[in-house]
Amino acid sequence: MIVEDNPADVRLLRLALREGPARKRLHVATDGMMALEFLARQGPFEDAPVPDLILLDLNLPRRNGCEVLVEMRGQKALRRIPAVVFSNSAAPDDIESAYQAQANCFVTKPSDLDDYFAVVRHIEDFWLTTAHLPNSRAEFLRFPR
Amino acid sequence: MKLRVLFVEDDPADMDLALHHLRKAGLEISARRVQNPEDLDRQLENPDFDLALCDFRLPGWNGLDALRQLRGKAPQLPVVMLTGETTEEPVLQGRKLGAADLVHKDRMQLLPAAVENAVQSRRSLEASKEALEASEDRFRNIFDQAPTGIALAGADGALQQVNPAFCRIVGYSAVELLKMRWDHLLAPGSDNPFLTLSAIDEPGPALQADVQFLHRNGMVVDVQWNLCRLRYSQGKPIGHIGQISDITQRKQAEKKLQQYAMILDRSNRDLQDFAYVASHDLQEPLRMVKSYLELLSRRYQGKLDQEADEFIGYAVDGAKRMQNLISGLLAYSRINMPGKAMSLVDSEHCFLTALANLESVVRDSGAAVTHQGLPALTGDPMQLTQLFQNLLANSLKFRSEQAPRVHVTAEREEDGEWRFCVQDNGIGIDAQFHERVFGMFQRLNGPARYAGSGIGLALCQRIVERHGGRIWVESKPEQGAAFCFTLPDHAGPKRRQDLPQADRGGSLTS
Repeated sequence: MIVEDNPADVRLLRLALREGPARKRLHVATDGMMALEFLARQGPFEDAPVPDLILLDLNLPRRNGCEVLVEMRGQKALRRIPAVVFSNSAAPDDIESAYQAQANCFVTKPSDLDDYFAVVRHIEDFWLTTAHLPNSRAEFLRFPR
Repeated sequence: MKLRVLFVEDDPADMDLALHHLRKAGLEISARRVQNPEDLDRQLENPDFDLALCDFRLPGWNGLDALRQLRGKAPQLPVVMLTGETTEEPVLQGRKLGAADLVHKDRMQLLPAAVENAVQSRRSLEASKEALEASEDRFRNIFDQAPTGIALAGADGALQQVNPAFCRIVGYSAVELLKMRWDHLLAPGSDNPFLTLSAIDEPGPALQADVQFLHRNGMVVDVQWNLCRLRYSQGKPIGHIGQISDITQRKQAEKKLQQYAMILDRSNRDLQDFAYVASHDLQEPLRMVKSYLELLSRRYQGKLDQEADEFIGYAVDGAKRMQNLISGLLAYSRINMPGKAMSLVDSEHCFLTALANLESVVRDSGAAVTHQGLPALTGDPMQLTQLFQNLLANSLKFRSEQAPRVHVTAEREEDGEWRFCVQDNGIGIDAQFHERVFGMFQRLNGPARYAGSGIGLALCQRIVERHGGRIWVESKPEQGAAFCFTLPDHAGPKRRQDLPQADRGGSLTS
């Protein structure tokens, strides 16, 4: 799931993601409030799945990235979903407050296109392939009961 | 000098005898004689005498009564008594009533000395009285004319004496003030140093405090109050002397200055915030422009016409340069951000980190970078690293035909500052540009020849100034440049091995 208000960035992300499950099952929320509604399966998101990974921008309309994180971490069901802050900022204050809000990691969007693609793929590789995720489809597939 | 003597004497022969002794002793005398109270009264109406000689025994009268009359009417006139008695009684009584001396008629040869003594002591008494009056006058003048308000107060703070300046400052008349105590003058909520002073059981030194008095018209007056305790010679406190100066104007000026400083501080901070926010937020749309331009050029290179390729090329190039400018601006505005603490750092370590960050540039240019005597001092390790890195990069960029040689040194100045120099053998800078090179976005060379955002040296200046130092350049064209800066050393010289490992400098990325 991507929480990102800038359609150009969303497009860039889609371009960066390899052809594969992540790209097919990508959900986008364009502001913080919408992200929280999605996660809580409210309103139009009644049938929304629980995302395996959230890629979260900080500077968002209505509720910013940190507020979304704080809200998520306060709820038992959402607490364990890994969240990667993917922001334009490299400011120490932003990094600090993201981790304070219990982000799993903070990644600055690279300004160079090649770097950007590379970073997105690193994230994809690490979080969706290398790492074990809680109660996820990947885990289920790996350890069938 | 002729002595004018008033005789209170019934017997002219006695007077003649007395005069005889006095003149024999060389005294010039003019004499007048009275022998009853009425005559004495009349003479004393115009008391032009230096001395009275008064007989004890007067028919139908009494020498002691005459003495009383003399002391009463002309207290300043010295009186010498003449007596034929042999008892002590009249002597004692005469003394008690204030006779200057007493001479027995059998020993008239002692009279001249007695007269001279009496006149002399009267004269010196008068002289000291005059001196006292003059001195009193002088001090009264100072008291009255002093521009500061002066007041004497009792031990309880009740005002006993005030000068006109005091009245002027508080707006009350002297009569009103003499019914008041110090604390009646204090504005509500003002400190009362009088209480502090009362609690101290020592005379002087003065206690000084800025307090607020309430003027009679209800306005608050800022005064500087000097208060010190007076003390009797027996050591018993008797009161206080207080001086007040009206400092309302000074206080107002101070307040105004404080306000200006606050406004300036705020506007500086706003400006800094603005630069930070602007550069920070500009990055995002710019990244989009740049990314999509790169995508365009990657996907459609050679598929459109040649002009399109050229246009895209210019656009990509422009976006890249703008990116450099914005990240420079961001770095610049971050330098004074709070939360970057100064610590004891090893400048050599900062230098080496900077050099390591520039490794590829150094290798490619075949440069020889050397250093000597870089000290440990108080500073921000990240910023010092950036400072060295920018100056080194500058030296390597503006190289001449020869292989670059850069030498970095530090020397301790007399005033305890460290003076660093980064000396190169590059193209140098004309003297007219020495100031300008440190300006924001100032560039002396076109981008075709030397790439750059024009922010590196501005950043250096800002870093040095944040550390309380100065930066300048010494250079001539074609003769290399020496960028010099000073850094104050608050901690004093330190041995490098004393440094905690964590503070030995920062690594710099980007």
